[in-house]
Amino acid sequence: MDIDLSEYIGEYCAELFEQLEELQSDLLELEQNPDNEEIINEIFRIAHTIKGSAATMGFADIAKVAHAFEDLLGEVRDKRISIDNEVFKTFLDAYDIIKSLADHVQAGTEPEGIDVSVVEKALRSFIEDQKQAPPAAPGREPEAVDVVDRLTGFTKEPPSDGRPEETLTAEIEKPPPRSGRGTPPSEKTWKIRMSFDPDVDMKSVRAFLVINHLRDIGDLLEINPSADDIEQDNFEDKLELTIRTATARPEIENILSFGEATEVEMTEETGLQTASPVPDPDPVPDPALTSATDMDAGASSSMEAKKQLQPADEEEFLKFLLGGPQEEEKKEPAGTAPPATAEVSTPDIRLVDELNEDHKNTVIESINQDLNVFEIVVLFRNAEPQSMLRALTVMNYLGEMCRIVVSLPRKKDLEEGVFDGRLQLIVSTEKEIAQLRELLLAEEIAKTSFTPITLDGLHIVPLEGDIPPSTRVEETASAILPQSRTSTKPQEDRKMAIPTVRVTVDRLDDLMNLVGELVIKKTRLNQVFSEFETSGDVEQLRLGIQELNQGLGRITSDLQAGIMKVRMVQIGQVFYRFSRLVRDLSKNLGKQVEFLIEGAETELDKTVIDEIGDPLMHLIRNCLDHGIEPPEVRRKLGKSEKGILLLRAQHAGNHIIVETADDGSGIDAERIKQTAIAKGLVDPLVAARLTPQEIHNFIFMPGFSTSGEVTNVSGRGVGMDVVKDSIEKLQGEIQIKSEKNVGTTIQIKLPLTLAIIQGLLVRVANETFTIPLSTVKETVTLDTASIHTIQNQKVVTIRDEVIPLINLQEFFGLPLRTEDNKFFIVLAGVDDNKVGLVVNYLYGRHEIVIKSLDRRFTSVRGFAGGTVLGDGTVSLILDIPVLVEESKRAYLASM
Amino acid sequence: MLKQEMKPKKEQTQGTILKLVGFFLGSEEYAVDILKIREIKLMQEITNVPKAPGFVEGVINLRGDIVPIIDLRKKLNLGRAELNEESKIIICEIESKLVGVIVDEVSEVIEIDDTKISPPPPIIGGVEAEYLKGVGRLGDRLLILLDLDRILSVEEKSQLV
Repeated sequence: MDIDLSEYIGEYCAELFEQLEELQSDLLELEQNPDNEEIINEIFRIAHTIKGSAATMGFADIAKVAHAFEDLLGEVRDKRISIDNEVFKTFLDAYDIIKSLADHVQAGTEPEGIDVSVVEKALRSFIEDQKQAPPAAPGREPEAVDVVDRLTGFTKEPPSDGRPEETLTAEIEKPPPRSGRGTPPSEKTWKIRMSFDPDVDMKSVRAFLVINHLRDIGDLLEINPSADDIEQDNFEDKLELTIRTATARPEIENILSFGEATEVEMTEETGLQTASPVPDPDPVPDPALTSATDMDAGASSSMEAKKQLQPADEEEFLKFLLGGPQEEEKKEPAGTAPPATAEVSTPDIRLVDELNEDHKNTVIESINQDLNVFEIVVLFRNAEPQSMLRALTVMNYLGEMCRIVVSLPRKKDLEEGVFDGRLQLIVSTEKEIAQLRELLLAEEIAKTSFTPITLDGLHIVPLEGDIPPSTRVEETASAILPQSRTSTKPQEDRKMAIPTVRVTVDRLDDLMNLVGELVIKKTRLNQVFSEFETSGDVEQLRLGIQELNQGLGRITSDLQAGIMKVRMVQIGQVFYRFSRLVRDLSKNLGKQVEFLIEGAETELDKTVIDEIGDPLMHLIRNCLDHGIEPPEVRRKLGKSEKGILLLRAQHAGNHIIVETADDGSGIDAERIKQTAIAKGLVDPLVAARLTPQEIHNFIFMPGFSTSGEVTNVSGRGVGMDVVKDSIEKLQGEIQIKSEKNVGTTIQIKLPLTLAIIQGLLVRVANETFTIPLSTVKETVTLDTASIHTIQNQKVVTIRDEVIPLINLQEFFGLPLRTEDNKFFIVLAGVDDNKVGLVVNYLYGRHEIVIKSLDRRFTSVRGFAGGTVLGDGTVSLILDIPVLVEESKRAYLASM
Repeated sequence: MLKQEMKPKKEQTQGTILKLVGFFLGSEEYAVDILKIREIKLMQEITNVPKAPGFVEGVINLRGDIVPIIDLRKKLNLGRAELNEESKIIICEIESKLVGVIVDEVSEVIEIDDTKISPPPPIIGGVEAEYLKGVGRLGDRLLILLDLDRILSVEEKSQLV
């Protein structure tokens, strides 16, 4: 069975990042309240989930770190280890590692150079230290059980709950890869019922994983629903299993915990004879009793390996499990050892020894290309004609996943009916044995055996007898790390996770309804038209169109609002990201800061959310570095030693206001003024007349910094201008309010959405331009305004305010139209900076959809983008902040 | 990559077949790799972008995307295109973004054996070799193979940075 996990990566990433965000904020909260058990439990839960899903998806590195994380936290929770700075730092380090691994998963890149073993060791070292006192071995095992119990909510029931056996009469799974006839004394039969949370993601994958791992440790007698159904996602939320295994309960429970089920019930079957395994036409000696030579021996030996592990280390065992597919590769060969002994009916020929030169070369080539080459023997239940067909099917299946180098009988012969129930092939493939094996299980096949072929003189690799089982397992465990980077399938063609937005079903339903209405209107339009064609009644047509126009207007605006809602994301996801930054920075700077967040649930367009992070980070760094004073200074000033940094978002009409506020030193207006004068940015006489607001705005000039020293945080004078630029790119405005020694508030005003805005359409010469309506203050006709020229710079005086003018026709070098003798002035601007734009005609306001311009050819200063007008032509959108700047420059130059 | 393919292989007479779209700029016939081309559009109204480089004719709306339009003649210093009803806009994908180029007339889809393509002379038809992939011979026709990626990306990058 081959579930392609890569298609779940998007979902997995979304989930993972949510969990990581939660984890981080919980961790930071834990630092404040190290004794809060609720938080510890919460973190424990998250770490556990991360571990489980990472293992499911085959990201062994993440799972490893998360597992060590979880273990250490378990010690903390059980009060065997207390959280000191060292422990906490290690937690954060571990978080960072997982985060960067997660970034790689999302980007679909290989995590080069990330070594998880260091942090894993660090996490483990605390546990080791703690364990030094009492001897490690006893106590360890019960502990593990304990943890699993609590995590998965096992309800340990008495061995027999009296439920009669026939409740589990569901279809019997395809014969398990191996089966024995009797149950050896050490084996027990367990009945397992798992219930999954119906809302949880990837239920079937989880169930599938559990089944897969259980297969490795014992005989699955019953699976309900069948594994095939699960594979096809025909899976509700209940899974019932019967397994016969020698593995101890804790281990089984551990495996079950991978399923992340909400409820797990495990009961021991006492009536052994009732659950007889699927009859096997090709009986084999009991696996547990045979020595490691026959086909089944590998499985039993791997089982023995596990048994050996039991008392030793739960760690190793988990690694063993976590290894997933790549681990199977190591194990499988053992499980399906060479068909050399009496056990398999016709073991005589090894295809690999019979290869001709051509085939040999193909095999060598494939091995050199790092492909896996296997010799596969498939034994069918009988040699009837149907099984010949099945053999062909199997070959076709295999042909899709691998290259068949040679087969016996040959395909041609098969087609002619030459078949004795045994199919032998050599294939080269990227797939792992496990994947191929699952594929073959789908047919009525009695036995399959896989033998990896190596370059080593094209000999079969030695499997049994050479290596004691326990060594092999160790090898397997230690091999996980490198292998997980190179050879696991899900990572090989790992896809990049596509950014997603989570949408509630309600919102989608609303949209669906609107689309439904749209379709109805379309039908109505056809009707109106055909009525007109038959009657020719123009008045009726007019009325029909009028009615439709109104209806369509309402639907489109609802549809637009609906789509906008879908694009809305809570700003909290940006805000909470900073808690870590604040913590680390303030520690670094030796300051005490209380970080407060308000209005995290405020929703903003996804595009804005994506862009707002960087500017906010700059502002927060500034607050911490320059704003909030060191504790001793604050004490002297009579403030509390702990500074406050507030990040707040709130709605204001069609806008969102995002604020950073601190109660720090504030901005020294006088110092800024002096710096500005010293840098020649402003004339001393002009400076004297500036309002505090205008003085603060100097901060936004490129390269402006009053900070005497350059710290590693800020102070290089880069930052505020970048912040302003990026805010203005988002059609936003930024304002500073500050009072010396009281604090600074920086307010960012952002439009709710970027994609659709109101625009004022104007004509300049022959071109139609669009001015974002949010920037338009007013429009006047030229003749009513009083225009003056100050040294070649035209200005207009409106209500005693002198505003520089830009004649757009001249500015853009457009041809003058002589017939234009009427002019309008559009007063536009951001904040208090205005510019008068001279245009020839005002078309009025329209709703416009902003499109970006190609940066390579049309990135022209003065245009913020383009939009498509009703007639399908393009109109360019004026970049008002840039035009304001241009006019100011000209204006200041003229003064 | 193409350069390798274009190397004349003496032993082999049968090379790879390249599919090209041929078009005219003035009297010369040019061709570009068909895989670069997304669609060919009739001439339509183009919105002027003031202050853009001279060879940028403007922008058009292509099903909701704003696509810049390049006057290929101007770009290659072959004078200015005279727009008429034969003029077409070839929409190409360059560095995964759409760009339209104006050509005088689109001739046909041409299949040519890559052995019939020789490396470009330093200058041909007034177009410098750096913009050329080679010159193809098809009977008595001479095709100038343009390297659209070079023409539309390299220089602009340095210009706009």
